[in-house]
Amino acid sequence: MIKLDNVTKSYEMGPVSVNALLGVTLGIERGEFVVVLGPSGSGKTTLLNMIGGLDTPTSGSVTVSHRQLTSSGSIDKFAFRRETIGFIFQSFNLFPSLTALENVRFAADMKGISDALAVAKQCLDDVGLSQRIDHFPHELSGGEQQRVAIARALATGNPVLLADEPTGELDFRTGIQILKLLESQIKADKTVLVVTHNREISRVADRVVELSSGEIVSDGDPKGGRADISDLHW
Amino acid sequence: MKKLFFWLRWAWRDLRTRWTQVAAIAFIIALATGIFAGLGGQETWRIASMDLSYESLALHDLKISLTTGSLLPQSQALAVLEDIEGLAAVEPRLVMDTMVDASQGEQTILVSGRVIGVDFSQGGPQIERIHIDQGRLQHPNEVGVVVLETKFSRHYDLQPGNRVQLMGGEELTAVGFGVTPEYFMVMPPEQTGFDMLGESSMAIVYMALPEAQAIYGYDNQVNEILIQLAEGVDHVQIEEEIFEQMSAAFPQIGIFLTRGEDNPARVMMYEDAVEDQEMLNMIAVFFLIGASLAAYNLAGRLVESQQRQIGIGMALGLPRWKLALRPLLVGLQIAFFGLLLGIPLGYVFTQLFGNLMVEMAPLPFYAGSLLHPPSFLIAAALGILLPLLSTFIPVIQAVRKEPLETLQGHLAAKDSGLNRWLKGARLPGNTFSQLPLKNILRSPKRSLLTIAGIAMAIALLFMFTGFLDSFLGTLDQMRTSMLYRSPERLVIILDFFYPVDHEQVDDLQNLETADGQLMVSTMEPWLRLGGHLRQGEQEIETMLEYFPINSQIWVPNLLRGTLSGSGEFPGIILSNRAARDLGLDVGDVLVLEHPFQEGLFSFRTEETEVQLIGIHDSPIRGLSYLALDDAEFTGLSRTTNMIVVNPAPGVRVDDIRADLFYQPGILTINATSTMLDFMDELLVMFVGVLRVMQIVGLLIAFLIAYNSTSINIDDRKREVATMFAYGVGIRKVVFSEIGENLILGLIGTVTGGFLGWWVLKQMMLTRMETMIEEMELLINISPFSIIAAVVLGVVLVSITPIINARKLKRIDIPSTLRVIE
Repeated sequence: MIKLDNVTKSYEMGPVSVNALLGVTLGIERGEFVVVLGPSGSGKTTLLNMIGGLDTPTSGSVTVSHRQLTSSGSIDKFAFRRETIGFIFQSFNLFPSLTALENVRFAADMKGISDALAVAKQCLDDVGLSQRIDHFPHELSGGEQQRVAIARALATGNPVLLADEPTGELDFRTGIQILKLLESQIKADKTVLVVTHNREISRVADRVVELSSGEIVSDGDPKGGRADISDLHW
Repeated sequence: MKKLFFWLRWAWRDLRTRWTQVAAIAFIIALATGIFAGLGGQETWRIASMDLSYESLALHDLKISLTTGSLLPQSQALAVLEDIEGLAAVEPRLVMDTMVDASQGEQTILVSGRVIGVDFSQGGPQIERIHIDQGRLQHPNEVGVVVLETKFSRHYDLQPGNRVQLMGGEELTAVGFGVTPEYFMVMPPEQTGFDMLGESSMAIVYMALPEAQAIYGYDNQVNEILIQLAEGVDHVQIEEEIFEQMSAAFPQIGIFLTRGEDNPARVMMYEDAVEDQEMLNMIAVFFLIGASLAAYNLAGRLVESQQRQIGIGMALGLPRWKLALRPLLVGLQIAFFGLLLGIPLGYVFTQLFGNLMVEMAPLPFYAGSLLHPPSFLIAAALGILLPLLSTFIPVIQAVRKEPLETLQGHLAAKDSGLNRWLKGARLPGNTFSQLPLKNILRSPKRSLLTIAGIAMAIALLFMFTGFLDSFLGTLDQMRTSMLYRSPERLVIILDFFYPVDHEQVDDLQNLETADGQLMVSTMEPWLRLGGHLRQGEQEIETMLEYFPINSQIWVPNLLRGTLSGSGEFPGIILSNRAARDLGLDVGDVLVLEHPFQEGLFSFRTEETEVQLIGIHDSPIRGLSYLALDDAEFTGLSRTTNMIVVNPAPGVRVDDIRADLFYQPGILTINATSTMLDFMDELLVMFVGVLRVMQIVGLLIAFLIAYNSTSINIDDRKREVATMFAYGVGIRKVVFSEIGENLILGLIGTVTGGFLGWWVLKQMMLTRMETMIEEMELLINISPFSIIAAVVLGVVLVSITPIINARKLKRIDIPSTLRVIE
């Protein structure tokens, strides 16, 4: 589903060249729930952006859903994101002038789904917000906003969900709810990639990829085996 | 000092990150301050220059003129005045309207003209001195030479030494070109009944009085006397004395006394200076308001983006005034740049306007420079203060928040604004197509300010469009009124009153082309007399045409009433404006003051009651009509001084003109359409100025919209990045912005349209009506102009997102999605 081959990303910062990713090679199968773990500056968000077609590697190749992104043009990448990826951001990034329902419907509309309204309602129902559909983002709690953001990503029906620190701005209880929602997408045969610096979260993943200074330092099962979400605490 | 530099540097960095928005606002401020600084002193400059010119060339204090056609024996008239104390100088003149042929080589120059015979002896004339611009003044005893009016000569590029001919064949040499106070602005002969003849259509010819008297066969006769009063005399008392003495000495002749300061050209020039200043100030104020609104928008956005930094400052214990300093300094810097650009722009305006004035209404002397330091200072103060005040409001709002609220403000989702009104409403289209409306409702204050800014600019655009359309509409109405029948007709003004069966009149009917064809198909003798219409305290001047009731050529087109009266009074037809100004309606009786022929060359003024029987459709107030059959009360029945002819098919106006030029007894020959051509000529310059103002209005609307769009993009960068992340293309985002601007532009344009229409109406009704008393201005904006203004306004405002598309392209999606302001 996702394949990164010897991917390097360097940034020129004045006279200094900084490597955000260094020779990363990674393969993720359809239906996997992968957590990318690492401290700040380890390159995990850069990795996510490469997979989401928001950034281009300096060298190496990125293939997602049989699309070679490295050589794709800007228009192709827009289409790729529309058809393949669902993003979930740390700070939600909902449209403030749209209600919860409209925010979700927006993604479905953009994908060109004919019954966008029904799909949006269903997605909000799936994330437990059917009672809050007419609320604007500023009328919702942080957890509710993130659930709307997940519903928005789900409404596209895209096979890959990329979540960047999805619980970063949420309290523990809400964070658990969000993780449950993400985990449940595996049953729908979606590939879920979560980027976090919270080691606890990685315990519920199928697979944990750990980054440090732009390089993969470990890739495998969670340490101590896969835990149930109800066992988490932070 | 170091600290101030630190804050200034920091503010400068803020400013640089938004340089295009800053540049747009600075440019609007520059336009406003430029107009104010450059043209704020035009009234002072023009009035001082006019004062200097009138004083240097000794504008007359009083002018004695006579009923049309009358003459006074020169020595007798001067003898009467000699006995009156308090007169510093007296100048007799003979003023004759004529046609002038100034053709040079291939160029035909055949125009209306006025011969002014003046006294060149003893270094004269002492009153209404001639300022020579080119060539020289004639010597006292020099014959066959004249001085031509400068503007006419320049228009046709005449040179000293060129020959000119007067109607009747008198050939003269122009030795110089000059101007006198009466003709700083050229006005036409009274007989045209039209007071807006262009410089190219009127030749003023100054010649020695004895020579003029000899040419016209009026030895020792004059029809005008100019007077300059001694210092300190009682003007009113002396006017009464002159009038009484002259009327007593010449009881058969109608005597009129007018003041030099009431000279229509002079009055118009002074009024223009004041009115123009008011107009320019108003434009500058509109621009400043627009700029202030834009500055307020930008400052609001700036403060919003610095919210967290302000919060950090609060946490560090910085006093509020220091926190406010940085955004305020940005406002100050914007104002400074606006001013910096505005002052050279003001200088450019000064030069352009100065040149325009010299071109349009040249004066012999100019008092100093158009640059007016007080205006520059006021402009500087306004240019600094208004944008600074605009910045002040959002800054104060921001620093008055609680520290925690400021620090955590970014964590809270942004408010949905007025979108709560739409909650539950089923809007057409998908969420994307609804986004423009929702974005507008989301930031109602910014949307409102943008709409207000656009409205200001569009109001200016509408106002100028309305001015233009109103003038053009009035001109069209004049054209329709004059040309609705016999558009080819010619009006021939005779030099005196001739019996209708006089051979000179008959000769006109029998004019033939070289191959023996008749040049005239129909000919009718009419009468044209000046006069005054009076009703109670109200009095207006009129040019009364006595027309044959069964005219085959032309009769006035009536809006209401009838052409012939049946009551006990002669029936008069007035213009709508004249009837309104006199407070009359059809059927009312008024007093007509008119000349009455006593002897061959003597006319006295009489008053006759006439009944208003009809209202004609010409917007010219002074045009009145009366049936020729009713002319008995003038003592001129069966005589004519105006012949109306229809040329035979295929005969050109110039052919008849050329044929009649050498015939004695003819004063002027004009096609009816000629005066409309004069108007068109005047309008060209006027239209040019208005077009420039229209473009400036559009430019301001564009800049305000550009600014607003640019701020919106900054404000919604994260949302745009989110759209990009979800695969929404740049083009689609631009379309959404266009949709938003389309709505803002439409509301702004419609609001501005109504505002502009209201201002136009107020100005037309209150100022223009008094400024242009002789016209009924039809306040009008044509549907085409409305559509054009709306389309231009809306289109210009709508396309600004396309220009901002580059900004969208440059958005770094990953970092924008993570950025927390």
